[in-house]
Amino acid sequence: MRHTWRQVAFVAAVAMALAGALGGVALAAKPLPPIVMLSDTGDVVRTMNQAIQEMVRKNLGLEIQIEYMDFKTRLERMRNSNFSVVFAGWGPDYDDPMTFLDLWVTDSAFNDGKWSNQRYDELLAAAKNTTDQEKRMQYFVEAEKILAQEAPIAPVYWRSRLSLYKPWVKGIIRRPVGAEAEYKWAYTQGRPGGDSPMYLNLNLGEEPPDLDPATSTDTVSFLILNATLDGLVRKDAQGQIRPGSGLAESWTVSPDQKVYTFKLRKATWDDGTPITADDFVYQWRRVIDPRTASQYQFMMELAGIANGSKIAKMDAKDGEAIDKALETFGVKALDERTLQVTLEKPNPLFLELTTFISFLPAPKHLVEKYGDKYAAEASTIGASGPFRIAEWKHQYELVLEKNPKYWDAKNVKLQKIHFDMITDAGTALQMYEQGKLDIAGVASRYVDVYRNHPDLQPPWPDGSTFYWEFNTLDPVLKNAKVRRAIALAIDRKAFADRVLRNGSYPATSLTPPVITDPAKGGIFQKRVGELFPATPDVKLARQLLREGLTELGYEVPEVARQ
Amino acid sequence: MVRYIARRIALGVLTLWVIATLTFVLMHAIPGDPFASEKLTPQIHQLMLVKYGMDRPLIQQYFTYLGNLVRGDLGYSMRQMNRTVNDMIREGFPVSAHLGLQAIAVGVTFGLVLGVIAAVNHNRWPDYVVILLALLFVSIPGFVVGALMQYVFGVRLGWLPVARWEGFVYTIMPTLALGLSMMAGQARFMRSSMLEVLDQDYVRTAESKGLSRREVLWRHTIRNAILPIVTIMGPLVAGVVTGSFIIESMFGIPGLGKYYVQSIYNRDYPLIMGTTMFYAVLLVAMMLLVDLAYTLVDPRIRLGKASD
Repeated sequence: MRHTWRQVAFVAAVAMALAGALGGVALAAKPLPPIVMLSDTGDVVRTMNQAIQEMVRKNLGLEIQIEYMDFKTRLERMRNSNFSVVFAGWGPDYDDPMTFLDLWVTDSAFNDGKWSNQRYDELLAAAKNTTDQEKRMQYFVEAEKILAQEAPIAPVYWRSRLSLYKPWVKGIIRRPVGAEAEYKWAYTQGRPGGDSPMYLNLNLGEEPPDLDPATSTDTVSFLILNATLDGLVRKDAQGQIRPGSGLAESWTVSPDQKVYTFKLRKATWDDGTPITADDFVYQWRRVIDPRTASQYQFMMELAGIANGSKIAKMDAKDGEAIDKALETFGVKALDERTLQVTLEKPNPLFLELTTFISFLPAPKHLVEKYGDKYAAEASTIGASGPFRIAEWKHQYELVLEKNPKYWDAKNVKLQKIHFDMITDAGTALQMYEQGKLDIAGVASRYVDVYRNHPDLQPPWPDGSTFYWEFNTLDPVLKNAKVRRAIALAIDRKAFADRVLRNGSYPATSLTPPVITDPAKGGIFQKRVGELFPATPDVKLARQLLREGLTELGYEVPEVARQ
Repeated sequence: MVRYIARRIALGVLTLWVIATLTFVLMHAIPGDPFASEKLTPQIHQLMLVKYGMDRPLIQQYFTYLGNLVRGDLGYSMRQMNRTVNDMIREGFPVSAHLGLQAIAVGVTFGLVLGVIAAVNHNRWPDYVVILLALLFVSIPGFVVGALMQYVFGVRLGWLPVARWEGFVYTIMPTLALGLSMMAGQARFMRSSMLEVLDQDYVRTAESKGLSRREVLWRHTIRNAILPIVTIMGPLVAGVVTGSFIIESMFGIPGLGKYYVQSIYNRDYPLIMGTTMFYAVLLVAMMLLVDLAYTLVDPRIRLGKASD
């Protein structure tokens, strides 16, 4: 078919007119697409999400739809960035702001919202490349400020927990980083029926899933591992790291800060076998070895042990190459009681990291003997710490007894710790009332019942921050002003006081006020100040929302127009 | 008879294969996997999949699984890394079975007795009392009964331990929490079954023959009325002896019931499959037993051919 130029011109004119008309339509504001929030199905979580949904609705006129699903489904959706908003939380792995701030660098595996900021990445990289603690802290403060400005996340609360302690329970140290409770110095005083022999009846809550320190990942297992194993150092009652506080009686650091040489004390496992430097080498190699698939492999990389990152990235199916590479891993036994660790670059965090569970040595002779069955039963596990596992009935009870072979046994007063594994929080409280437990946690739904109980302890901040995480690939939430608007519209104080009611604090920045400031002493959060307001700044929030939505070409909700 | 049992066993094996396959498919159809956790990086996640052979095609995993199943090897739990599912069932089942059988003993015995009492006193006050009790315990869930008992008999009166599993006294509350609703169900079932039988001509015949009330009830009524009850006993027993998640969690009992729910929540594939198959085997076996029991209760029923 042949067209004359007139026909062509006519068609072109019609097409242009149509395009113009459509363009005109496009200039009018588009209706807002739905903002979908993922939520777990628990009662408490539901209430929390609905509370914030209501705050955002009231202050901004934004409708957030909540989609309920179980925990594993939510995780999968998060990892695939298949969400608009999700309520998530993070607990610290080590005592440094990095444990929180490192989450949001561009290539972080945990950055599900896919936020990316060049300056932020540079700051975190700079912090990793300097040993000057004051400088590191300044970088972190600036990073926190970028987070507040760009709001890829909106911190909501710093969690605290409530528990009841019988009056005779003394000397348990609770820590927001690492194992939640330290029992080494615990004792009882004034127990009805007498304090001898000294014991505690506690609730573990569930069966510890994995008591092999190389692969363990959960808080319940950490509690038991910390009680039964000593590392190079054990933080003392004041939270300090000192030579001689653990299995290392002393250490020297090379002038270039890259080589640590630890002298181990004379000590044995609970079966009498000497603890050697080789136990450490064997266990640390297991953690970095891709075949072990240890979730905390990254801690070894973070410590910066020579060749660690290289080994971590090797193909798990190439066992021979891995075995060869492990020989170059920067941890060596110079003799039975001398351990030498070589780092790729100086790392001010290194000693702090060695207190972490993944760095605790398990007895090589038992791990080799039992293989997959190591730590499966009380009879296939070793101890080098204050306590050893005396009895373990799965899903039912675990009994720790004082480890007679412990190097510091004279300072361990408890003869026994009996752990029940009661999953039901209500049952645990009834057992506490009946005198069968010495400590019981008070879950949020029981807070009102126990508010005035004489045994109620002051709220204990557990170090975790809970935040709303925004997906920056979302058509609406890709705009930083919209994200910041939502972050400003949340009434953190009302949320903590009226929804949680358990002594949790409004989170005014990401890093919680339990992480220390190694340069100035005290708490890092003090340097940061209030970056997210405790009470909503409605005026500014609405203004930012108007600007953001206008930039995107969306309708501004009625409420936010004034 | 022998041929009948052989046929039933073959059918049972086929049923089990269908259940295993369906469970496998459904389990892998839900999102998430056993290793997904908040602090897991994709690299390590991949390594774990490799370590547990989950990087292979599903069909291959399926056949590997079936092969192990036939050998009776249920594999390692993926949540409690160092324990085998066989061990978990071996330790948990006796506890759940103990509690379950005790609850059945209490529930069924009292249920049947109450049902008979109600039917015999039809539309008189004992009947109303039983109906009321049955209604009450059918409506109130076991965990509410349990929590109330824990508070009243445990905390307030101090008569019974609130939780744990140490000896007979520890079993009283969970047994009642589990058995009372069963009792209520059995009582209602037995009552209506009895009323139906009492209406039959042969009962009237027996009475007119001058048999005593007791003989009529015992020889002609209860025996016939109990027949439908036997039918539901199979699934009931299988269901109860494998444990109740809520009751076991509430009373801190180290049974099998906890594993069912937790395994699904944790996507602990080997444990989901292990517990499901274990339950399925029990159920199939119970059904067969019920059919055999039928012949004992009802002489009219003959399984297979008379010549067997």
